[in-house]
Amino acid sequence: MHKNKYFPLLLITPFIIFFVLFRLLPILFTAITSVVDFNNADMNLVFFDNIKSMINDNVFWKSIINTLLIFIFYIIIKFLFIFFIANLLEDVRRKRLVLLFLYLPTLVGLFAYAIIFKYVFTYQGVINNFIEMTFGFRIDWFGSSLGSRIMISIATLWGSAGFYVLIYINALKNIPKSYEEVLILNGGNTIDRLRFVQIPLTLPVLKTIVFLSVVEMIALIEIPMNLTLGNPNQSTITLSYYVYIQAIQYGNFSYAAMLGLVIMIIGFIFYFVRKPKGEFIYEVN
Amino acid sequence: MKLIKKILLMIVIFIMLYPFIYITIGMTQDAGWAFRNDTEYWFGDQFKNNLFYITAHFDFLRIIMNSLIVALSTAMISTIVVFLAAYAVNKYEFKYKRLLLMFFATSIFIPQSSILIGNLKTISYLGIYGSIVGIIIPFIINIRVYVYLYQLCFYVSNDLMEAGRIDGATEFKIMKDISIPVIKDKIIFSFFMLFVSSWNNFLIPMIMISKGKNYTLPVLISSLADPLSYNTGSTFLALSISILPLIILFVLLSKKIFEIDSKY
Repeated sequence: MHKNKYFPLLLITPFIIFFVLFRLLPILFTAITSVVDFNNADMNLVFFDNIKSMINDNVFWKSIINTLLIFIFYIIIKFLFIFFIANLLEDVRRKRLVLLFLYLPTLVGLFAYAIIFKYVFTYQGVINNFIEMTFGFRIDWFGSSLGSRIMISIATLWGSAGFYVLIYINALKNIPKSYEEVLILNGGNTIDRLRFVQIPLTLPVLKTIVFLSVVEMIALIEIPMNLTLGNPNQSTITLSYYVYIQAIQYGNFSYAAMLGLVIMIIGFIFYFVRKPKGEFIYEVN
Repeated sequence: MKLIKKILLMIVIFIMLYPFIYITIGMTQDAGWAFRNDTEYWFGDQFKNNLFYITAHFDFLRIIMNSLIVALSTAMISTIVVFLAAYAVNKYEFKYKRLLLMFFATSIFIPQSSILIGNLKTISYLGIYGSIVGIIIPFIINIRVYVYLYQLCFYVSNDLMEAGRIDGATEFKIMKDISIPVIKDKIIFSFFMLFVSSWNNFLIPMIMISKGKNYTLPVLISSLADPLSYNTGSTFLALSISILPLIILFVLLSKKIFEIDSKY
């Protein structure tokens, strides 16, 4: 660490300017909009009204439950996928090529997956044609709340699976070989290895994956917006999408800002839960 | 057992890449192709019609140029700004550094949608609402890339920098001639990440841009994908075109990315 008075400040100034303009000011404006309303020249305190209508708002509570449910489906599918792929990849010789193919889908934006999946999952789409060919029935993905939530979690997974597989495989590299040898000597199978060696020894990384998923989920907006539009029966309105609905479709900026604050508070809570001993999140990525 | 694993892996990769295959086939098919029971999942002959539909309704070349300009300039400015900040934080000690770091770190947990209202307000106060600049400047700060570049700076040895100082180089010269060459490849990779995230930027452009001449590709795709307008093929065409440059860049940079993946 070198001490120099002006040079580092010179380097960091542009970053701070942009950071203040497009991170701090928006937070401030969001907070102000949710507290006071400048509509009719004089300002009204709308904070308590907003809280009251939020408590009485069925859709708000529904959106929290939806986000939670999608999160649960997402986490389950994701971990199954990661463990499955990690197991398959174990003694592949050209691991890097495989990882390249797995990483490729993460480059495409979530909105694109939402639009593609809208066609793929329709009642007469390719997935249903395939299911009918093999099992003889069709699933109405868009008509049932369970189906559409699962669909959303699958679409989200498509945009991030490669990244998480990379993180997990890097964590697996650090497990000493001797652990596995002991397991094989004791006659353990693949499930045992997962349970007694891989999961316990990669626990910090798995926790990180869960926390990153939380961030992904509270920010989830592009997929419900393009894939299901919150249907059916409001069962896929996520928290972030509800902010968009209130702000852009209904024009309730003040209420939408309030919802934004709620998301922010959830994010902060997870940040402080996550924060390991006063250090920052640098070990995350 | 090994063979079964290999076949399974191939199936998984095929499924993961299937959306790309699907849209490539879909862009040569007519609008009803995606919604038939007895449809053939193979190439058709409607490519020209689909292209004609887009060019007749939108200024397609201009939209692609817009997307390129936005993504390239965001990535360029952002790489410079973020790298300088990460370098300064990693290599130098200055006042209020820890306070700054806390602000930077917490903002990774604040999703874009929660500060949507504030962001739109800031953008309109600055007078760039709805313009191309309005989708460049707000996205220059990228905390993930900041974190990544910050970690990279540990590769630059402090002793080497100290040696430069003893030889009488200025701090700027040390950065330019000693630090940057060491991690040049990885800075290029972060440029790529920023390009991708700007290229896929959807929410705020979608809300903000109403004029056809300022459209970017995501906005075009979302306006094409309206289920009431019967143009599945052209939607897939626009999607394929928006994905193509990412794949090309990725293949070109894949060697560098693989050096990274052990880290990232």
